[in-house]
Amino acid sequence: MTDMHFLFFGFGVVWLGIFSYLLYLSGRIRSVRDELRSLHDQLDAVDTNSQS
Amino acid sequence: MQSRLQNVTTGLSFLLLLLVMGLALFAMFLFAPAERVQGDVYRLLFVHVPSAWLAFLAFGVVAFGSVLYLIRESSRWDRLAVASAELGVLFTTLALATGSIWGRNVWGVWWQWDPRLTTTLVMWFIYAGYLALRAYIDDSAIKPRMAAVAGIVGVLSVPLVWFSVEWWRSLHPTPSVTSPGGGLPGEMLLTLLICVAAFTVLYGVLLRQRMLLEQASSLTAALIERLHTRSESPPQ
Repeated sequence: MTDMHFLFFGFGVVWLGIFSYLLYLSGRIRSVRDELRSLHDQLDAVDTNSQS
Repeated sequence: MQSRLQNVTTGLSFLLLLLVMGLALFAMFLFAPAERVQGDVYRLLFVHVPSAWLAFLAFGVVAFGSVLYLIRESSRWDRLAVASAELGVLFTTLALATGSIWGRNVWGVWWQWDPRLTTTLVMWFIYAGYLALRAYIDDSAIKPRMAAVAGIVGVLSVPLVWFSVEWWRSLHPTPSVTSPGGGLPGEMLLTLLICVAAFTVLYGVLLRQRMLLEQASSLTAALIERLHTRSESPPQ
C-alpha cells in the first residue's frame, strides 16, 4: 500500500465510525418514536374503555 | 417557546459544525504542507490527535457528571455521563484505529504492545465495561449510582494514558503541542488546533443530541410504566 492508500484508509475509518454512530442514534430515535406511538394507542384504548 | 429555542440552538450548532468541519478539511488537505519524511500520510495526525483529545475530554465529562450525580442525584448528570461515555468509546476506537493504520505505515506493524497503545486499549475496555454495566443492571434506582462510581474510578485511566509515554519507554512520540521545543511547525500546528476545535464542536453537537435522546427514552419508559400500573390497578 502507498502513503495515499493509508491516508485514505485512515480517513475512511474515521468517517465510517462517525456515520455508524449517527445511524445508531437514528435507530434509537426511531425506537423511541415507535414506543411513543404504542403509548398513544394504549392511551386511546384506555380512554375508549373508560367511556364505554 | 422552549422547544422553538431548542430548534434554533440545534440549527445554529449544526451550522457551526458544518463551518468548522469545512474549515478543518480545507486546512488538513490544502493548507498544511506535506511532511519532509513521512509525506502525506502524516495528515492522519489531524484526525488521530483530535480523536484522542475527545476520548480524554469525554471521560473527564463522565467523571464530572458522575460526581455531580452522586452529590445532587439529578438524572440530568447521569444522562450527561452516559452520553459522554458512549462518545468516549467511539473516539477512543477511532484514535486506536487511526493510530494502528498510521503505525503500520511508519513502524511497519499494525499493533505493538507499547505503553501508550496498551494503556489506551485498557481505557477503552474500562469504558466499554462502564456501558456494559449500565446495560446489565435493570434496577433504575441502583444503575446510575453504580455507574457513577465506575465513571469516577474509570477516569484514573486518563492520566495513566497521558503520562505513559513519559513513565515508560515508548515508540509513541511525546505530545507534539505541549512539549517545549519539540512542537510542530506553524501551519501544521494551526491546522491541528483547527481540527481539535472542529472535533470538539462535533462532540458537543453529538453529546447534546444523545442527551436529548436519553431524556426522551427515559420519559417514554416512565410513561409506559405509569400506564401499565394504572391499567393493572382496580378501579376506585
